[in-house]
Amino acid sequence: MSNTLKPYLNAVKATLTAALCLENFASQLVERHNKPEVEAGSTKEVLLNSVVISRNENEKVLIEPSINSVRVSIKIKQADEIEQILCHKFTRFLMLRAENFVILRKKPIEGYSISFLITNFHTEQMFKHKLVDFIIQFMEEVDKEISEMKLSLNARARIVAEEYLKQFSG
Amino acid sequence: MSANRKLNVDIDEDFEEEVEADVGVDNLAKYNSLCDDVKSNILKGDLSSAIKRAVSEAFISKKAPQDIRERCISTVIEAMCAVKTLEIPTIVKQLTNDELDILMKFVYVGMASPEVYNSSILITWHEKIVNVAGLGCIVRVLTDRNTV
Repeated sequence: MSNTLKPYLNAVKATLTAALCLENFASQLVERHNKPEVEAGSTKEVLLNSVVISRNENEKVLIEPSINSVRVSIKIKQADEIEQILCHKFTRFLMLRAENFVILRKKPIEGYSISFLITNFHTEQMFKHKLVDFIIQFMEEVDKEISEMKLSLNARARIVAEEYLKQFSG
Repeated sequence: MSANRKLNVDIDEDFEEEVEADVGVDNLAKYNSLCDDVKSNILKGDLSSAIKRAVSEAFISKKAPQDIRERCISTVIEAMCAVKTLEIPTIVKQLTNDELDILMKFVYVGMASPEVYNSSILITWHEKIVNVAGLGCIVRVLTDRNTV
């Protein structure tokens, strides 16, 4: 599995590194405002082409760059209903605490599981390569995390069922 | 008040019109012949010239009719999928930087619809192109208004 995951992550990494060339850019519509242009969407000429990098239908990354911000949306692998529930709970948990994760967006883009919004202020405060690494590492870990949760959920369900059914066998 | 006083200098209103060139009738014929050439090269097994021919025309505007656009994209990606993984670096090395930019656009367009095209092959192409042309190639895909 890691063999096919690696090139996918490399492609995401290269594209993110290329997309994260951000500069300070004040809003052209409202004076003394500074908004992430990719979110405001009011001035078309500062938005760049968005690209999708996909591993298969269930796993893809949408990267929407603009002059002062980049929005990265990740669709996490969800093979069955349990994984869907776990993924939903997990991303919801993170997004409720979005303030603590700095670049995390509170809501995902439609069709994706989780979104990040990186602005020029983030690239000024933090190292660009570390930001890229963070997202790549997140993508690596989240799959592992969810499959681990699924295993422990199944194990727990089995024990519960055994305990419950004991009263009928005895 | 004269017309230029009413211009909103902060916003480029003619923005979209300016960058998207119109696709004329002769261009449509050009795209059709491009598809045919690429297809015949694939059939002959001459994949290197198939790829070369695929990236020889400047771009396919979004304004081109949907069916022609899709036909072009699917033909080019078919050619890319036909190439063996080991041969990709040799073909990539034969192309100029401008050609690689166009090829990279096709890679991204193909990856945008994983239900139609095989993403893993496109990811391999992506990697090989970046190895040769560097990150600048990706930046040009992101910034170029003339999308495939």
